[in-house]
Amino acid sequence: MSLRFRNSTALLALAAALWGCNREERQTRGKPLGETATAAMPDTVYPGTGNAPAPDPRAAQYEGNASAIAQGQMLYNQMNCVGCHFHGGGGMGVALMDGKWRYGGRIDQIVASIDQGRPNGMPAWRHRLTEQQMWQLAAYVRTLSGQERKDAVSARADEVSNTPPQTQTKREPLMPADSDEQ
Amino acid sequence: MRREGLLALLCLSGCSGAQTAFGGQGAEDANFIQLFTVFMIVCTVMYLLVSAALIVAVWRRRRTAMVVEDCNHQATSGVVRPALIGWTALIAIGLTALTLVGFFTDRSNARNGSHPQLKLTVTANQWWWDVEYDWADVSKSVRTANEIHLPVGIPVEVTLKSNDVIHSFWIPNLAGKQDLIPGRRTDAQLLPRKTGLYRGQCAEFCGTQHAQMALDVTVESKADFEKWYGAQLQTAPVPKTPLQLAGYRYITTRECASCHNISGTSAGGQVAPDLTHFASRRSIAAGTLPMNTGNIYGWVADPQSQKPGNHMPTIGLKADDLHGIVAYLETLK
Amino acid sequence: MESLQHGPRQRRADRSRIPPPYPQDQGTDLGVKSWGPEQWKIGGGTVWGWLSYDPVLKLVYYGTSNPGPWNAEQRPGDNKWTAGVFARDVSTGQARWYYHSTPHDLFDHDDINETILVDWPGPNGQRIPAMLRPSRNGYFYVQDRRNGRILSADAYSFINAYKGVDLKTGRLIPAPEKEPKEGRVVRNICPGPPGAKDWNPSAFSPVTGLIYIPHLNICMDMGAKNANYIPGTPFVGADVKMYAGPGGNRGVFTAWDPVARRKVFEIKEDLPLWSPALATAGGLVFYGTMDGWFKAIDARSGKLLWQFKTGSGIIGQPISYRAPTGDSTSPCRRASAAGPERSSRPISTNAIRPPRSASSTQ
Repeated sequence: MSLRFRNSTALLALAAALWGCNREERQTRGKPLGETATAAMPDTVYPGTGNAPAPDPRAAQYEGNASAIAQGQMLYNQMNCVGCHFHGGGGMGVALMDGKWRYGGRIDQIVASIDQGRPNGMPAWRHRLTEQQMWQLAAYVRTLSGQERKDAVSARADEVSNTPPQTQTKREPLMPADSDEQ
Repeated sequence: MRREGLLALLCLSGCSGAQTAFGGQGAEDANFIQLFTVFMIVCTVMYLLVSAALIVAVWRRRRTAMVVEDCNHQATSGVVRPALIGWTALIAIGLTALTLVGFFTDRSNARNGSHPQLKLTVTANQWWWDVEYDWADVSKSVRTANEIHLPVGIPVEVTLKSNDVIHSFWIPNLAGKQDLIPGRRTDAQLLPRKTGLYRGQCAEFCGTQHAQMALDVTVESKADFEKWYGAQLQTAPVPKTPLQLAGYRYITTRECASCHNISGTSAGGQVAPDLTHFASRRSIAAGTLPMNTGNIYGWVADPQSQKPGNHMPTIGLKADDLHGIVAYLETLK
Repeated sequence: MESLQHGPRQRRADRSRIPPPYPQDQGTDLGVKSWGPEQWKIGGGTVWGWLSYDPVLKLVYYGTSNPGPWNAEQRPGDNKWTAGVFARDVSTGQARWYYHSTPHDLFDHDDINETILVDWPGPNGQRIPAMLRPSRNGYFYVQDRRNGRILSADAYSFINAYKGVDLKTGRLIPAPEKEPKEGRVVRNICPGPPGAKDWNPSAFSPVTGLIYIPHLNICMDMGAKNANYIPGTPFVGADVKMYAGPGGNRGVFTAWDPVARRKVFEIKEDLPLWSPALATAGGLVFYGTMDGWFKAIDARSGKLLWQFKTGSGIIGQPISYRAPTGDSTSPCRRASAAGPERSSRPISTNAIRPPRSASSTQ
């Protein structure tokens, strides 16, 4: 193979690699609420195992998306979630970093909890936050249990730091008995 | 004459009059221009002399191709020694002049900033400016966003904070840049000398919309400033028409109130620009769009299309809600 | 007789000027002027603590809570009438006097703690109607309850957030290096947000002349940040990490001599003390710990005489009453835990007997 051919092939390969190197898909606009705002929030709490409804297609778009998680981290502080749930440990509100989810711990179930509110003090954020913001919050809440990929979680906490950043903490294995997730 | 000529040349770079470091409308900027001019003159003279010496040396070398070097360089020519002494003296004088001018400029800036009569606190966020006027009587302090009004001739101290990343506060017509660093306080001193409308700009890359993080600066007479300040102290007017009322209801009970504050209403959010006197500003979204009805419609309907990535979400408003919101916002003068 | 703890005077049921003893409390409409515009409307300052009543002066005394948000940078000014003590005429509701214990509160140092009304020995032998207040900010205030004038204010707990109370101006002197600033974390601030003593009331014994204060030894790191105001959600603006103060114990039971202005004895407890105290004429003092130990100590020496492990941590008020059997001992009863009373049986009267040397006043 001539040197020239080898070089141009290498260059083409490099260009292709760089072109495909999108870290992730980032949507700034999100899907705006239409006239029928309630359509997105089915009740996904169900008895027993199995029979789980199919996950919302938006779950794949927001789950593990670094920009959604970063936005969610900002909203978590701004919308005062931190005042009841603290930084995952809970206080007046329930802990969000454990595996116990009374109303479901899947991302779309968390969105439903934020949207509809829950008994004992969780406000309903419908009409106070857009759907996109609720999905971003839910994506962030999902990272509080330390199960998310290290390249997606935020490397910097915005608060008083007691623990190493999530990018440097070891992921704890999920104990099946501890988790209510389906 | 020489100074004007130099300035004219430099101004060809295309900066508009409202945002140029060669405007000289502020004390610090005027000092900067003086310093810059002196440096330019001294350095130009030195540059021309050096170039001349180089040309002469090259020319003379051309003419005498075979020159036998005398090992005793010192005694070669009766011109070299005085020339070298003169050259060294010239450099020494030049550097001394530059140092002195620098010293006097710093001293002048320090003097101008030593007794501020007006204090502001500017907090930078991605990608907007939160501006507060700190008054001795705290109940008369004013909070606005993306704009600064200053009375001419009054020294101002601006305390600078940041809520997220490093930004930089820069009003080129008035003064130089000063960073706003999260977790620290920095400060800038301003002393505007001429009235006018100027444009500030964030000068430290701070994310996607760094380019659209401008500041509308108005320097006006003391009387005009007091009039503006008095208007800013008023709470939002009561909506009058049914459309304004509908907009008021939407803003105070829906998504807007989660982030924005309108004094005198139940919308008390603190994490987005204060809207109490939104319609009195010159631009929307930190200089992104000029303030007019059409732009308000466009911004409120889809902020992500105007400033993609900024933290105001596109809600997907119904047409009637949008009409009401814009009608109410326009009353917030 | 509803009154807000700040806002224009009309809403505070004031028709006459409060004759304030200190310059910081003089002026009109201070409840509006000492806040940024409109901030008094969302400024907190509730009344959730104890009231005391003087039937002679016909005044009711109570303290107000901290201003909101915790992030003090968002509410410049003194923030009246939060974190201070009111004395109001019980029939008209008009304020007779007000003392601002913690102006421009930085650390959630409410002032809702109990006020104990005592007759105070004045310098010329006269009796001054006074009040004793072990306050959240760590100072033990002795005040003339007719006009609020401070007779003494001494630290009964470890404090580094303040330098003292200026008795001339009545003003608390903050330590500037401990002032929280947005975006920064200030470390090692003592006392922390629950205060040197939280709401749990202390007990005064006229027999020993001591006041028995069950309190805390908690310090904190505080990171202040911009708080967003959304009604129905917490309006705080602070990340707080709390830990034990110097010594490593989180609770401490102090016997304080208010006249000599010093600590007589103290008992260190591992866990914070949120149980009130009870002092009896028989020379005993009772209190409980967070891990359920109900203790009786000697009122003069602090020696532990007896303890009993109850079913849960104790934050309820111990009470003492005379049993209907006519027995000369008095059974002591306490409600334990952070919930409804777990055990309603009185402790066996055999277990507690006043020392024979104490006078029987039952």
